[in-house]
Amino acid sequence: MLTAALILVVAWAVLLLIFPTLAAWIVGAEDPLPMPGFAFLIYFGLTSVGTAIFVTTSERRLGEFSQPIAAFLRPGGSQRRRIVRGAVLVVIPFLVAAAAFRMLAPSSEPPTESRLQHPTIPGAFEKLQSTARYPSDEAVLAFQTTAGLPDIGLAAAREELVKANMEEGRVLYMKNCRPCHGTKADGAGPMARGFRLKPANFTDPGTIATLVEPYLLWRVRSGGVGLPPVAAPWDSAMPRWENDLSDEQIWKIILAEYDIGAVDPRLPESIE
Amino acid sequence: MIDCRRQSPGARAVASALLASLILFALPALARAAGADAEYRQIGNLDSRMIMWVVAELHLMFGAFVLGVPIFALIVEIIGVQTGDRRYDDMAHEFTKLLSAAFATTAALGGLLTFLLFGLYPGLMRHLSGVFHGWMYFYALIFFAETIALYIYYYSWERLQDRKWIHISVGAFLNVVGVAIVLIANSWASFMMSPVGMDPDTQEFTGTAWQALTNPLWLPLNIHRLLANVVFGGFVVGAYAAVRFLVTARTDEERAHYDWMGYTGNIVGILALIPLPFAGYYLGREVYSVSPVMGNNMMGGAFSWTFILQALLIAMIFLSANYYFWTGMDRIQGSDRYSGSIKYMLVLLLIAFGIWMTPHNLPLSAAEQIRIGGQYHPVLKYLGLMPAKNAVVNLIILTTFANFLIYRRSNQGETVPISRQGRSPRIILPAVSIVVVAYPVYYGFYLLGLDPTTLDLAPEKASLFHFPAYLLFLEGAVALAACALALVDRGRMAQMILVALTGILVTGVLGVYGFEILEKANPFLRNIAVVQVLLMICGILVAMAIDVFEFRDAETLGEIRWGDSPPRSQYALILLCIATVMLMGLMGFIRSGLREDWHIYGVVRDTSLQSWTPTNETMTITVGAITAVFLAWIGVVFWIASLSDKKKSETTQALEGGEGA
Repeated sequence: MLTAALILVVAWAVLLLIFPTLAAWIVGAEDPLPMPGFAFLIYFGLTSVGTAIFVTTSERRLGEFSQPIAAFLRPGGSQRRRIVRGAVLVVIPFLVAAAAFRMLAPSSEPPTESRLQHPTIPGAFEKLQSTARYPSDEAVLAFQTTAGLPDIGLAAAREELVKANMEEGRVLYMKNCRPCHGTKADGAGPMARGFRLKPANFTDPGTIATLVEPYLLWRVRSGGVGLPPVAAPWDSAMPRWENDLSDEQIWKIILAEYDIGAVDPRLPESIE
Repeated sequence: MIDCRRQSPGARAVASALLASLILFALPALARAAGADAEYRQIGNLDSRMIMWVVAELHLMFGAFVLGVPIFALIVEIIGVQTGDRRYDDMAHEFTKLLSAAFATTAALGGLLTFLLFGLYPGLMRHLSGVFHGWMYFYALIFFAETIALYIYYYSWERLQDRKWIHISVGAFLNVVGVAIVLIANSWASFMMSPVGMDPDTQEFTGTAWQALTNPLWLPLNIHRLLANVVFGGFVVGAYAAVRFLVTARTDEERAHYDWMGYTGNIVGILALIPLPFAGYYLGREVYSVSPVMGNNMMGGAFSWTFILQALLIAMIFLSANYYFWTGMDRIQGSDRYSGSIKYMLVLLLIAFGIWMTPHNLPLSAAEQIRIGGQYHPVLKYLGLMPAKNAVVNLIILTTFANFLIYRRSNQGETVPISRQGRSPRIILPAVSIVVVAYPVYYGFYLLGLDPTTLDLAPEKASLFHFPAYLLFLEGAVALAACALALVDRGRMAQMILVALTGILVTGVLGVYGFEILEKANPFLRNIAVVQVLLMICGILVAMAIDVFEFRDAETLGEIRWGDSPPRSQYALILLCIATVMLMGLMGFIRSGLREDWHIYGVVRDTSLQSWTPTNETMTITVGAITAVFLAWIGVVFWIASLSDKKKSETTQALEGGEGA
């Protein structure tokens, strides 16, 4: 029983005392990073289940675990023993009640949200393709004429057009997106500190690298305010850009975002 | 007047098949009768979608039982013939009897489902019967064939005891038609997610019946469902045995019988469970390939939280299955030699499940968000990404496999060296190893020659593909070396090296490398997952082949004390069944829900009052209720099936008493 109790105490200490310091050290943060309550629930819950599993896998271990408890709860014994037993039996329900009260008592803190990572994209965007990354032949030929390029062939001209789109996209990004998403697209722009939910960090391989490009077009166009009710719960300070930027400009920005963030967009996959 | 009490299970099954066949043959007429104008109907104020949800799910669960148990029964019957152990044969027979009772219920639910579909959703069924009517007639015919096969399989059991292979052939035919039925029914569900040959504007079907059947999601759905059905069959058998062990077994003999039955059900369930995550991953990837919108909604959008619930249920299933092994070791003499390994395997499983259950986007309170400085925890967010998930799911499978190996050898003493086992290991082991290693090596060469531009990656990224290819070659070489070591009587050492290397490569090396790929060549990530699967399959199959010969004819340290299992091990079996049924309901919700407000994705829109996606709360309540109804219902079916046994046993006792007098 002592081993089981020790495992739980060590797990509690590791999760709540050691992990915050360790996590801060890993990412180079100044202050300890707290273990989120939800994660604590998972990890401590698993430790408790694991302890229960280990204790009950054999009759011998179960006996070793339950005998001291049974002996403690068995009626009789010395006066001192009876007092301690009574105190424990009173304290445990009080602790449970205190925990229940803490969970249910009204609080001024907003509730924890099970926030969706990617709100549901309308189907209309699904089949769209970036005109900045994959310009049509007509667009390439038109570019060749307007840019005064010699006859270098369609493929080479397309490459030049994509480069030009990228440059234009970078300029548009710096003008419109940089204040929040940052010069390096790391979500640390000069205005970022003003938000409770930080702007997305595009260099993180878990953000735009996991999305196909049309998804970004939709997010930039609609912003936080333009999300459909089905996308809730979702809070975002992202402006609605469709009134200020054309789709063509947004595609160019998206092209630049991936380049600045040094990540690749997810590709629509083919059936194997 | 017909005496219903005297109606046999086979007759019930035939009657049900006839009813279902008539319904299916009447489909086009039903569709016409539905009227050209009506799109939806309602029964009073009842929620049509909720009715369909409950009836369809119950039908699917009974259908899974009716498909899974014949597969289970046939496997067990073949094992019985191979081992000469009569218990296997009796168990297969017992379950075939239960099958007959469940078959009638499945057919009745199928009939109800069909009528409800045509009655409540005539518009949708007009489209579906227009595409699939040819297959519907064929479905009805093979349904009839299945009924006859089941009838012969059950009633010829005793008569064909001397000609067992004929009986097994009937069982095989039963399974072939059973699988064919599922394949056709799966095409309807998968077509609704990935339609082919339908014009989105006119909604006209211009494709062929074959194209409709073999729509893009058909194959992955088939693989996933067939494996899941065997898992389901095995765990339902386990739970049935556990209930009988705890409640009805009176004698030591009965307890031993049901203890052994529970063990066998669990083994069959686990063996099918091990490849199931790979099949699930394949299905998920193909859903993404069909539609990035469905893919995003599944893993990062509206359905992402249901995957946390899925992770929880999968954790319950794997932990319960392993727990059953561990608690069962007490009744095996000699198992104490291995009991020390339990804690290490448990710790590995718990760490793996800790990572498996961590979402990328952890729910944070406002205070936590301020302290962390964003909505993603800077360290824990990595545990929510695909490379981490792929690494730990493989670790879970490998640990369960290692646990199974340990359980198998618990009461084995002195072994017969493989070098003294004659020619068979010298032929079979290298042959198995070469066959198993061949595809990973081929895939390694494929990766070496893979053109990055086909994945829209820069040509210089090709160097990133070489490392996983070399890992495949390494695994192949070590698997062949392990086979050679086994042939010179170093089998256990060879297994240990192979399993440890597989674990390190799949979890440690590729787990970390996956993050590098995620950052530098994201489209290549799916190939990394394939490499992980191939490494796992290679390691597991070669280690298993060695194990078979390593412990062939080994001295037994003592018989397994069947019937000595503690009650908690039986509760683990019951929990396994509940979690599996619940998981089936949950995954059914996700698969169907991904279509959102489309009946046929991208072609026929759902304009009914209930076209919205239910909340997770509604889903948990509904799936929980369906699980409870199914388990209670199948319990009643089993009880009814056991009544004839009771009657038979009372009659036998009375006759014996009479003869004695």
